Amino acid sequence: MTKTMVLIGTRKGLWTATAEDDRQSWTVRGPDLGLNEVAACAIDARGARPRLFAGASSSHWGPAMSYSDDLGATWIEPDPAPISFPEQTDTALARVWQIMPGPADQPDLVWAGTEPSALWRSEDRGVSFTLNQGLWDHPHRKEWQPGGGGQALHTILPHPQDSTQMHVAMSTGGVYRTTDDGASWNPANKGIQGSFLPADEFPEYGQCVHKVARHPERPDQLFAQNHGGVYRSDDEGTSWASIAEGLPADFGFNMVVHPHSPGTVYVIPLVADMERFPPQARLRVYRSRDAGQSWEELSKGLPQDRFYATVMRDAMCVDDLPTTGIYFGTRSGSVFASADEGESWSEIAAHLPDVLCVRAGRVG
Amino acid sequence: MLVRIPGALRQFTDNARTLEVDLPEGSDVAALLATLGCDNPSLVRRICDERGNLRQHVNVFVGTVNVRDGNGLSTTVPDGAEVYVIPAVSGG
Repeated sequence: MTKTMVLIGTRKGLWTATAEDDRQSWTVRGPDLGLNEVAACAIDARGARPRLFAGASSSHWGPAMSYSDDLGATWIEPDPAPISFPEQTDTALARVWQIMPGPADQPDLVWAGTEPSALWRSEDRGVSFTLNQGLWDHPHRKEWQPGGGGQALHTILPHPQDSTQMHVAMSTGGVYRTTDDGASWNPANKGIQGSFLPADEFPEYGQCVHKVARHPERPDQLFAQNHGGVYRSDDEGTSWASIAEGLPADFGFNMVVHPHSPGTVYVIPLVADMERFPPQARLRVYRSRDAGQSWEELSKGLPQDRFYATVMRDAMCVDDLPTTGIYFGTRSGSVFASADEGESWSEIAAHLPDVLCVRAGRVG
Repeated sequence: MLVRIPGALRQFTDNARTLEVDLPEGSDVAALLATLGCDNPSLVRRICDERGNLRQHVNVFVGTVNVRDGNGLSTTVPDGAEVYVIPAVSGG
């Protein structure tokens, strides 16, 4: 029987939930990593043994990045620190926001995104990382402003077929793309609104894009949940068009693609920037099976009465099982899971600190 | 000189509550931390970031003097002084 694990990064530590019965019953364990805020986590299933990653940060003792090769029984923080800004940047790491294992044919390649906004590359499976200098030296950097959570690079999308291409997303800053293996980067935000900008609501860059996703079999097509606005690009981010029609609201933080079905995406709408609650105080996931042309509500098993918690940008994910599982955690400390692609949901963990990131996958 | 380690950082000192550090007379806190970091980089990066700045919610006392009220990390550590690393009251 497949063993499935969900990593749950919270404001105060990391929990794991595991199931060995096709995701029907879950054993929750934790907290690991003490009182550290775990804003980024990942399951890297490429090696002989799965490697878990956690980007943790202590309000006292600063940020750190750790890994575990025994499914969280022990955690290793390498020396020297895996992510450390070079001296010439005159900068210090504030937080790890994203950990992204590379493709299967490069089992030691791992990417990371941080606050301040920077992209990092590891070629030793996350033991040490090198700063992407092209993005760090970008002339736009001085104009990227911090969002509510800090000025961070939170989304990393390596091209599934061409290792010289990649998209990243930052809040604020928006989407940037490289086609020369990270040597140079260009903004890719045309059509995405920046409603908080006074002069030009459709600038070349500076948007607060909350999350971007794409399906590996359809690399030209990108989906974005913006700080106001839900968008699709069919030309690798060169231009974007709204796909918000049919949703109860266009604000939110999540954007997740179905791993086996190109054009199927999931979001969790919130009322608005200034009213960050689920519409009608009902917790609902919305799914589109036609690349955003239409949306359907998924709420079976989710709280439908006076629910006011939100879901952070990395607190929603899918697993890689044949029948896709979907997971998300709330700022009220609950984790909900669906083993049937969103048709029905159950609460697999409750009363945790506010959930910041969730990742799931097969670990045995 | 003697450095007193808070409980939260003893995982990096094999649970030692204190560390003895030999420094030339007139050395400052920065030199003390640099010496500590040679053998124990994991410990020191909890106290200072990679630019060598004292973390916001960590206090270092030389005797009874908080170095933030003195000369920061340039505060001299007198021979025989005790140095305390103490987490600030913060968080929620």
